[in-house]
Amino acid sequence: MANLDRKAGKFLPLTEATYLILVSLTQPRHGYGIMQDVDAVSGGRVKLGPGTLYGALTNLLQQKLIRRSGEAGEGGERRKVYALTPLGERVLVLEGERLASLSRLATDVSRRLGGNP
Amino acid sequence: MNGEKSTKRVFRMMMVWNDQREERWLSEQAREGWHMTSVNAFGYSFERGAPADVAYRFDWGPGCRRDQSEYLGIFRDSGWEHMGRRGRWNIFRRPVVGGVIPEIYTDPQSRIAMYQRVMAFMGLFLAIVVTQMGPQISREASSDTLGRFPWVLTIYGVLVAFFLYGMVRMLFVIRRLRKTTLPSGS
Repeated sequence: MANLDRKAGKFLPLTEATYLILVSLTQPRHGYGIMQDVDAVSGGRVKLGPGTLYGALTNLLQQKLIRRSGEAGEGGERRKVYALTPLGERVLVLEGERLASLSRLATDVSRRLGGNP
Repeated sequence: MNGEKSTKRVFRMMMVWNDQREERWLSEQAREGWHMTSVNAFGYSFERGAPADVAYRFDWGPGCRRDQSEYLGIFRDSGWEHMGRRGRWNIFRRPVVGGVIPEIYTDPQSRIAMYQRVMAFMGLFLAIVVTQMGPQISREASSDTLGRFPWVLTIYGVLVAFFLYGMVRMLFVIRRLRKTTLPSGS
């Protein structure tokens, strides 16, 4: 576990797009499924372009944070399905902890500056 | 069509680093009612239609044929029409709806990564040209076979200059994109 954490730590911090893609892949999905899910969980704020998504998937496969997990659909409409690897799960957890601590800080700062946290 | 031509073919050179110039030009054509139908190494074909606001985007696609269908599928699913390829550049288009210009790269980091792939490709070509032709040149130069030497030297020089120039252009594009990115974005 310590070894896996050390390896996972090297990928931090993630870009927002990469983080949301990994979150989306806590369930196996195909490319378009990821786009729709990221759109939904970000309340429509983050719309992934296909170039950004395809580039991220290629990188994440190379870095072994995700893997191919079969195909969905049939005939010409066949789509590759992606899923997290154990390393990808660790990266997601560690990045989550980092973001959570930033989030606590953000709430604190907003309160001090009289904002609406 | 009132005797007006309803199709046209335009001869047009494209250098590897001219993707954004081509995008703008194709959009201008669409605004004038000329909609691209196909592309080859020498230029584009168009057909006449209603003037429209259309976004054209060039993307440096996967080198491996095996990945092509997954790649094109993701673009098709998100509403982009694949118009063909110029070399490794894949041409996509999508209508502009409600003034919102659609993008295939939605953060600067991934766009920078694409231009870095283009640069890596040119760097590889430059390395091949230098390592394959360099020894040949020096052999010819020392053995006094001046017969075809000037030609070889010219071709060699042009190729090296071409790829060096292309890489410098890419560096400037990347630098401009970096200015829009916060330092934390990796």
